[in-house]
Amino acid sequence: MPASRLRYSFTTLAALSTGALALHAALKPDYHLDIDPETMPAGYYSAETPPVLKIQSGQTVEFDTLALMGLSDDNPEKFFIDNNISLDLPSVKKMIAVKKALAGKGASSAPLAGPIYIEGAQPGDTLEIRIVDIKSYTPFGINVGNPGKGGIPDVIPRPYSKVMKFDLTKNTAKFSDTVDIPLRQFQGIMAVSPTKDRGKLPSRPPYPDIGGNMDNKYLVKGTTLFLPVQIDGACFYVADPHAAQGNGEVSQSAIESSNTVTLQFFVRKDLHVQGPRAETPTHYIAMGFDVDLDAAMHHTIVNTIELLKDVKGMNFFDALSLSSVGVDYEVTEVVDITKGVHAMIPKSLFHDDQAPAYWYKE
Amino acid sequence: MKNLPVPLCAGLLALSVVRLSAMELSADYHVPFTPENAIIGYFSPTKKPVLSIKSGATVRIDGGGGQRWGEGDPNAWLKENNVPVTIETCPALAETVRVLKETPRIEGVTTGHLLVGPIYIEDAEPGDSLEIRILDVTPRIPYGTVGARPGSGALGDSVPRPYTKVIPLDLKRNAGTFDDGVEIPLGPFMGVMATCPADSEGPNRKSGPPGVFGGNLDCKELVAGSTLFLPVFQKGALFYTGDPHAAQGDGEITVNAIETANTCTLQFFLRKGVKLNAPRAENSTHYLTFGLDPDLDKAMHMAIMETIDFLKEKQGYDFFKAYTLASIGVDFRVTQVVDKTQGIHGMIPKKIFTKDSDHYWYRAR
Repeated sequence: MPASRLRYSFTTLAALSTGALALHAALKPDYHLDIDPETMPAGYYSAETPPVLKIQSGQTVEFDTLALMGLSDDNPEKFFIDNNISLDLPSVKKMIAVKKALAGKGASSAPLAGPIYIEGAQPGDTLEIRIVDIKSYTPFGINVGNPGKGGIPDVIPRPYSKVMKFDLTKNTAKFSDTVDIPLRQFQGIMAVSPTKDRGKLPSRPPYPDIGGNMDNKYLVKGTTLFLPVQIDGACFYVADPHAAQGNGEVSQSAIESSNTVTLQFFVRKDLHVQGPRAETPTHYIAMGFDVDLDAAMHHTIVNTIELLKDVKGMNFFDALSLSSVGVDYEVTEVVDITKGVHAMIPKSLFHDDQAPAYWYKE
Repeated sequence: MKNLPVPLCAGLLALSVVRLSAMELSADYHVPFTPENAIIGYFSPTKKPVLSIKSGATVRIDGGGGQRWGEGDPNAWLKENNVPVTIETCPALAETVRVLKETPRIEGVTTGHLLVGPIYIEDAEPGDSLEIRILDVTPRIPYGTVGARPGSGALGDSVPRPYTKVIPLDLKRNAGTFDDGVEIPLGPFMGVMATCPADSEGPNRKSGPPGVFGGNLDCKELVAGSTLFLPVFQKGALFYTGDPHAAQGDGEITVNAIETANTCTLQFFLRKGVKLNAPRAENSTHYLTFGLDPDLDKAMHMAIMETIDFLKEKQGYDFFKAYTLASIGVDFRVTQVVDKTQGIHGMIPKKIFTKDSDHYWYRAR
């Protein structure tokens, strides 16, 4: 499809489809996916994992996603007792039960929810994922670091962790008596399944095509993620709930904390993205990934130019110049083996933007 | 970066507000853009200072730029690009032509940033730091340019031919017209602000790569209302500035911002005995730290370490507490990837510190 016909198509067609008529505020999820340790893939994406749910394009699914970081396999209760967190909270009971069920299965601190099969999705299509809602599922979170990991792996003398309590009415985490962190809940992991020939792909690094552990702090409520479908049904995964994170995620973790997330899925036959892209009420976001930060930056620039060509019909030189004078490049994360850079392209630059109103208003 | 005593701050704030409300800022000194005041492409520890000032003085500095005509005729180039001025009607362009023609060059450095300086700050010695309050930055010419060249910038391999785009600047609306449908909000800043580098950087250090002395930081946050802190390496600090930009994205990927000519008004404070390992900055909403290295991974490493050091100093934190806060509350951004030495900056939001009172000299309007 020529670039000109792709202009404005990020939002146009989906807005005309039936799904958009059901406004997010009034949206009751079509499905709730309960946490089932029996079906949770432990630490990898595979085309051979049977879907746990089949849905139609336009439908919404509510997921509970658990952060089990800090809980030990043999005595998960200890974490809560040590931190004065009641064992009677329903969310705590569930975390303990799931941790016990997953014990010994490997990569059990961030179990994956999914895969979800979306009817009609085929390789070459784009899966549009609208993040309709994300709420903290527990009133606490944890940040950890370990020697040999994170953004300064050579400097960390010993493992450490810090538990923070939340004030969910103010939507903040209490870091100390003098520091509050504003909460911006998001999912570290959202992915489509890889093709069968790639076998079991570990879930720790993000991937330049299927997404995964992108740890992008802008994937909050009101953001849309676009992923390129690799296999029939797309087979979508979500995991790694975060309550807040800085760009860079330098200690190897965010405020790791369980979330309830509601997502709406659209199969986009008209869009053919090659890798993850996102859109917020205010920005388009291009992404690049590589084990080397210089290379990740390079990929992000190339992907920004492709995005500006696709969405705005720009030529190479204009897209390149605009990327230099009007687009901000930020470090997504440097701690997941494969590092990430993302480009923030302000929608306010384009006063000829004829796209219909974005589905979410801040 | 400890705050000044409250009464002094309040006084300065009042003074600043009066100054900033005036269209034409008054300053204690004015440094015009002349061949005597200019230096092209390097920092010299021996060039005669253009000015010697006491701590607290304000200086208005005119910069040059806009010379995309290269070897050609400036007026013909301006006409060709629909710029509604000539060398005769635009003093900043006339000054730029004269500086390019008459400023002495040294062997091996014939082109580079159009810089002004040095400004000698009395009593400044190695081991001190220099606080530079950016009171105002305003473009002096009605356009800026952005371009790309094969082999240059972050995507040099993919650029098939040299390319220049002229961007008209509308100062009333504070916007650059990119094309009919695209407008860039302006955020004028100086790409280069430096204390004279240490002798260990070699004599006549070229201005291209930034360093711990600042220099070509190309940090888009250093607009009016922000403060830059630089370590002092030479007696008198020997401050230089140049490389005027009208707007830039984080990353500066083509090696060009909207390149223009600015007048900047700066206020200098000597911070006696306050030793810094690298530049730091502050604005009304954030503290900034910098990481600099030819390798972006190493620049990131340095930016994290600088952020941890800052948080330890500011909050009295141990390593772990500072490191945790850097992960969950600090944003790391790509300053630029095109100046050989690349930059990452950490943005530490002031609003997370719930008990701090605001004594900062500038308030966003």
